Amino acid sequence: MPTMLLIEVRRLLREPQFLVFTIGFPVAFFLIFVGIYAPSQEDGSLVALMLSMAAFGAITASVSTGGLVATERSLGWNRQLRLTPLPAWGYLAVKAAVAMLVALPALAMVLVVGAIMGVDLPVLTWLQVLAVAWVGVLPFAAIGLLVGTLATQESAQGATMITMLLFSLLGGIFIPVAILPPAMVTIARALPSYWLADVAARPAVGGGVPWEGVAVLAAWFVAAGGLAVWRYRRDAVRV
Amino acid sequence: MNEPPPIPAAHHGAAVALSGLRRSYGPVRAVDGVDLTIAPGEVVALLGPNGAGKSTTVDLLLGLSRPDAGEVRLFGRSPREAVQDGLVGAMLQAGGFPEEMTAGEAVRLVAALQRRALPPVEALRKAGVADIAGQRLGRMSGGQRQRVRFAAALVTDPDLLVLDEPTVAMDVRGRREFWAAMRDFARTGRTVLFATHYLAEAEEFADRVVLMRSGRVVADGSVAAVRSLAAGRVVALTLPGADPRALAALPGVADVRVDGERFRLTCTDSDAALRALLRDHPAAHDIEVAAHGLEDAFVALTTTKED
Repeated sequence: MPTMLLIEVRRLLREPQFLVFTIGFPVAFFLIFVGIYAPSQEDGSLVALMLSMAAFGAITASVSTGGLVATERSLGWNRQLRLTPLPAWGYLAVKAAVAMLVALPALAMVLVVGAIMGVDLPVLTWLQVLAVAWVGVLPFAAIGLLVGTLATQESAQGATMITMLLFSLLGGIFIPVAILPPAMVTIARALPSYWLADVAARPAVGGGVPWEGVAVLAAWFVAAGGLAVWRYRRDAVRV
Repeated sequence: MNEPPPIPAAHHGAAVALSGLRRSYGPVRAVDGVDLTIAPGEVVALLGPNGAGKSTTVDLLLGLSRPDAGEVRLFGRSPREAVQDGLVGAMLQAGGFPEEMTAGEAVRLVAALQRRALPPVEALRKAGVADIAGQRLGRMSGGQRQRVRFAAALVTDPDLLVLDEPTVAMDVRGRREFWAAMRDFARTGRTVLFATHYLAEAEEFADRVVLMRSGRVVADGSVAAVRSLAAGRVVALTLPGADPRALAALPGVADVRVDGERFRLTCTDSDAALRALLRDHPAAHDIEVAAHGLEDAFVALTTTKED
């Protein structure tokens, strides 16, 4: 599997448009929102916006990577892999790892732009924010794989887009949860997208470990990952 | 002392043993009761028109799809076990490598996933694609891509090689080189099963032909045996003014077709027919005797009576 991961990464680097898109998108949104709202370092709104956009970038990157599984399924690539001893979960594990690797530069780039915009944190805190946010991307890697194993090649792009938007909008990434009606808040608190930005902010703004958030993120990871493996196993028949 | 239950001789040590295999897709019975046993070292062609159930049979055999009924054993194991033990290599019809991968990466990847494998370079060389190993699959011709898949099948160094329509996208030269590589592989005593609708390929490369139609095996035997199933030989002759009915009455003649002064006699016993013809019609000339090609057998056996 290390060879497979290496080859997968080389494949992605060969098509740099994808990486440029996953990095460029959240950075552009970040800059636009900074222009509109002029958030400040003092009241913490700049940090909050930065982490929302970092979460958005990471979600976009990991869910789109998972969506690529649909293309490989229609190619018959997974049929080829079934003729090797690689188990179903092995393929999905490699794909999840790739999704995580793709999310990392998107996350990091938004943080770098945040620093340039005036977010001022100790080096250790920056690293903690990055590390926590990155681990928080795991459920989205799993959700992406689930989309990739359910969608067809034709529907994959749309399905990826809808998944991203739903999680971003309902999870309060574009609209602060504070201004939403209570019902929407309840929904948001059940979504991993809400908690991704929240847990990532903790090293910077303090407040201890949000166990509810950790539980929601873990539950989504286990549920989406389990369903993806189940679905992929059943998918032996030619598409 | 208890006698162990006897093992059916045909299944003992068989490379492939399919019994009572059935698979439907909705109302379509793609595979409708296939029994097939292949001994190690045999080179078998699975021949049939499109939609005969060849690819479904191959999928079932490789464990890519599950039979509704029946059983698949490869070297006495389940397909998945045989794959895990590295006994099976396959070139699928709908088995694509991602386009951004290079040929070398594709073969290296498959090799890395196997417990034992040939050096990837060797497999690429055997398949005749070592020179384009650094090229991306998306930039190759269909025939080149097929050969990269062949290399990926070879790199597992399998005891059973399964090929589904292996030469479909290849040009004439590619085909020739492909079959030369295949022959080298088969010469090492390994088992080969290939599905094809090219009669010439079955005729030329297989020891044994299994003919499928509508999900069933309709003929199974050596190329010569399958050919003879479609009844004997054809005697063609020129005989001005002859009565076709008189020719049809000759011993060993099953059917007569007239084309001007030229007659084509389909014979069950061409020797008897010829002796009688020369005795009764000494004016017959330009006589040709030809065996039915496999093509005729193919058409005869794969055409449903009703149509």
